[in-house]
Amino acid sequence: MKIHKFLAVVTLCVLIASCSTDEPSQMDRTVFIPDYNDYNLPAYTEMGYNAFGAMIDREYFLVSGSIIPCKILYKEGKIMFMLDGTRKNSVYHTDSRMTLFFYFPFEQCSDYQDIIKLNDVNINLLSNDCRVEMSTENSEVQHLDLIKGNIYFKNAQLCLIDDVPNRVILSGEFDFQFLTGGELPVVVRYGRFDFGINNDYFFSY
Amino acid sequence: MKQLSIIILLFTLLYTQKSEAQKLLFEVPKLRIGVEAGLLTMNGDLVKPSAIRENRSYYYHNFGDDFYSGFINSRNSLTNYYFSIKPEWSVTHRLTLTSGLRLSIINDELNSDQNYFLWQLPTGNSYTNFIRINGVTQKNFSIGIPLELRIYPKQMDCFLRQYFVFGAAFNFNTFSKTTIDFENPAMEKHREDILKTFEKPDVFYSYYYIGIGLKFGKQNHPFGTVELHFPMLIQNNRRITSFFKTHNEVQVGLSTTLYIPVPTKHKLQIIDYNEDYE
Repeated sequence: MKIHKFLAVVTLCVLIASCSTDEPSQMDRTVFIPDYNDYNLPAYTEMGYNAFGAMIDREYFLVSGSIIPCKILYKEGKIMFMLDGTRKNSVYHTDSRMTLFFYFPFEQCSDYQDIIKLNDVNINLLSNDCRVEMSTENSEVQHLDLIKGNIYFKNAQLCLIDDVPNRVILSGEFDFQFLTGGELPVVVRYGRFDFGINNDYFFSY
Repeated sequence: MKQLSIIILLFTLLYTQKSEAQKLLFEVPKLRIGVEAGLLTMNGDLVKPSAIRENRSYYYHNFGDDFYSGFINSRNSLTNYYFSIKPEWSVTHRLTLTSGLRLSIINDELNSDQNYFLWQLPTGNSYTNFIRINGVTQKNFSIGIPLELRIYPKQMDCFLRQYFVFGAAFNFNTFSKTTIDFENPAMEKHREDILKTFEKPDVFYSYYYIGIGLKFGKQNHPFGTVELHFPMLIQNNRRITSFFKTHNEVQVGLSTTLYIPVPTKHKLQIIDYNEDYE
């Protein structure tokens, strides 16, 4: 009888514990708030809306509801910051999957909370050891021949939910220019992102 | 002689008729007290506090399939319930003036389409804190002064008597009661911090209306009225609650009142034509 009571108490404790650590699914959603000047792009926000957007010449590179928009990998003194979404042509209404990879050297990050160190960090993508790669649906990952480029992590804040650390909100802007194989310049501009990063999206080894 | 007899008969008949009419003449007090209950819709917009984290995407016309569409419970009208004590004064048989005191109650609430929404507390440089809130309810009480003019197209005081009403109400927000329902009861400690961030409702708002009404009963006894106020116009761009601002769109209202005559020396002479001719 005592064993039954003990098991009941243990079950109850497990249930209570599982309820209290229930992570809000709202924070994992992509919330798209259109920009006031261009409603095709998400507005620049610092709320962890898991959205990003940029213009590639006259096309849009945008977050998609069905693709995890950002993953961050720290390996051998470098951060790989990945934006994954779709490239949309608003005239022909064609979509194709596209991924951008930003690589840059950074101090040790072993846990998602360490990326707070990115707060107010501006990276010149033409610096040594920096590179940008792009992959699309029909092509392999290609190293971009940059003319100029910049990524600015404007805000990196620890996000608490009910006073408990939940993730890091990482927001910023980027723009760059590169040459295609045929020496044609392409401009990526008005890039902005706002993500909530936790251990599901941050990897270190 | 025959002609003289006819004239005398006619005079006699007229005299009889006159005395009958005088018997039916009675007096009613010019003053009566009304107890009113009513409601009106107030059109406007939700003013979402910026501290609430959006939980859905705005409508996004090109790529709507990829995103949620919608918003935290957006709505465009509130209901204002009111209770009044209003003395009415009969100026003439066809015209009455009414004023008094009106207590208005407006309920407003913020809810999420999910179990809770996230409220961002004022933050430090290195962190931001969201609190899970199931809902916020606000009850606003205002004291107002109604002013009404009623015009009765017909002079006779029938049991059922229709009339037109022209009115206005000037309201002063007196106090609000706000309750916050936290997902995690331990977050009660942040209640005051959150309440401080709420915008206060405007102190004053007014609305104006015309309408039609029907009186049940006779003026020398307690009687009731039912009124439909349409169109109603509310003062534009007034913050009625912490989360709602009005539009001056056409609105509608309904009220019902019970009047009780107050015996005074000021009387109105009434001929009860109904009894006279029925």
